[in-house]
Amino acid sequence: MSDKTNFPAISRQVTELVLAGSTDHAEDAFSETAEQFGDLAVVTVLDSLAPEVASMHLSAFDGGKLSLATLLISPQAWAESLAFFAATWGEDVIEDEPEMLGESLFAHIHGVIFASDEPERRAALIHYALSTDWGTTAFAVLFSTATAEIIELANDIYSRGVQSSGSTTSDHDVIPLALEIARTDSDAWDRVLFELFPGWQAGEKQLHALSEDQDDDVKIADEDYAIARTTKELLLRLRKQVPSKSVRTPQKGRRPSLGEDIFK
Amino acid sequence: MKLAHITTRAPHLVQALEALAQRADHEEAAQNLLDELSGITVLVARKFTNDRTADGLLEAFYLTVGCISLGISRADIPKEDEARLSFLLHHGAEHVFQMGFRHIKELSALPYVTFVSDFENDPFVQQRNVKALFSEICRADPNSNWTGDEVYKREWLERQNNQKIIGCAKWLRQKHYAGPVKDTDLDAHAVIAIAVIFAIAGDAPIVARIGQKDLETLIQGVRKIPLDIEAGWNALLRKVPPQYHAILHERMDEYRNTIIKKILSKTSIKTVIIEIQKNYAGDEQEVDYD
Repeated sequence: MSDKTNFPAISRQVTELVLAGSTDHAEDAFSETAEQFGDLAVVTVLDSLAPEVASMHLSAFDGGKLSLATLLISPQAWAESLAFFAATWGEDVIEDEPEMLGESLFAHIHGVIFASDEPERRAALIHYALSTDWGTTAFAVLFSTATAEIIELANDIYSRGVQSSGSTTSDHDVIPLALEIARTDSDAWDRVLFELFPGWQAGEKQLHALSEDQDDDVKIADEDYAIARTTKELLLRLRKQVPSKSVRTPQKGRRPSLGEDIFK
Repeated sequence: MKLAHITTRAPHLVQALEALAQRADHEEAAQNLLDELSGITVLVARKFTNDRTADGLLEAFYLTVGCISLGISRADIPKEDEARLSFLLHHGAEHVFQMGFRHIKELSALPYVTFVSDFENDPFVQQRNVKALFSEICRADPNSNWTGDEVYKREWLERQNNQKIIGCAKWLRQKHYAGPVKDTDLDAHAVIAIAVIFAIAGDAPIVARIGQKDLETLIQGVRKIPLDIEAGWNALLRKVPPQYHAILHERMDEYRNTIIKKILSKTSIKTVIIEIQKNYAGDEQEVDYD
């Protein structure tokens, strides 16, 4: 087998299966590919999938169900596919059930990052996902479900350094993930914190979680604290970042789109 | 027995796509078109229907198919599927859509009736008219027949004619014996009717707007002396620019044996005046009696 094969037939087959809603069969195709050509072949196929297709496939295998795809997808391809994770969220659902969406996003991200025990792979996954805007927003969504704990952890890290922190008063699921980020990539950690607390300035403003029964505090808090974005706000931000066809750059050799000018 | 002749065709876009399916190497062109068409559908849904409901998107899809078909149908190309396809591929679906939409806008700028009012200058109303025409002409279900191009042709001719009538009425108003009539509302049919009816009195200045008293004077005057109607009309025709002659001729033929006869008969003046006021002079009458 030469290095240049990229299994177009398998890619097409998987794409069709995923688009038809048959992710289980797509997964079968992956296992067959792995048996026949080895794991690297699966990585190649995953890389060659369109990011929205990869996202559709991965989102069917969060949490409990194990999948070859979650184990093998390359960090770059995963970062790309994250952009489309929010594509199916309606604004009504974001309004009514932000917790549910937050949980499914957590299950997905947690599933992919902790699927493997290799620290290098985890670091790469975190690095690539958090070097995108949507990835940063996605992680901020997870953190926003446990703002108080994140504040505690962030203050801890700020005063004592990353390596010696880690024990918090809570055992929220997000904490290990947050620690993993802070330990592997401190720039990424800052970016997520900044996404969650847009007014944050290290050492100058204290982080503050906005709770519903503290309406009177808001004014004071506004000046002295960096206020956290709510899960809902962040979900909306993430939804808005889903790339749509019209804004994607036209492929080479095509005419540029007229956009709204078609009505002129 | 002669059977009715019925032509049934799918929208031009569908015909072009059928031609594309016949081509050997169509994969890439088809993919391009698919992307462009879905992009246009989203834009149409956003602007005219609703891009958040399946119904809105379906409606936008029909409008897209129709508007592109209109663009193809109005283009100066041979009436063959292959030519339509080349035209579509050469210009791209978005540009062809734009052409179709411009045709709709042109049509919408022409008068729908021979009645002009200030109302039509309102941008909101203009927008509404464009939208109404767009959904009337450009709604094409790819699985059934489409006659939007025929509808467009008919509407175009009709509105061109309206445009001419309005032009004629405007010209007559300018030449009104008492100075140009300045009124934003214009009932073109009535203006022409008045001018034609008043021209029977002989070679006299053009009358474009009247009060009841003018009618009384006219009828009394023409009943007193023997009259050469045609001479009066010829005098009118000599004053009016030739492009409006057809409209005036048509009107004269229509009136010669109807209202003109009545004016010259022994019918009571009151009855004749009421008929003219009701059926001919329309909105071009002064309300005051003086």
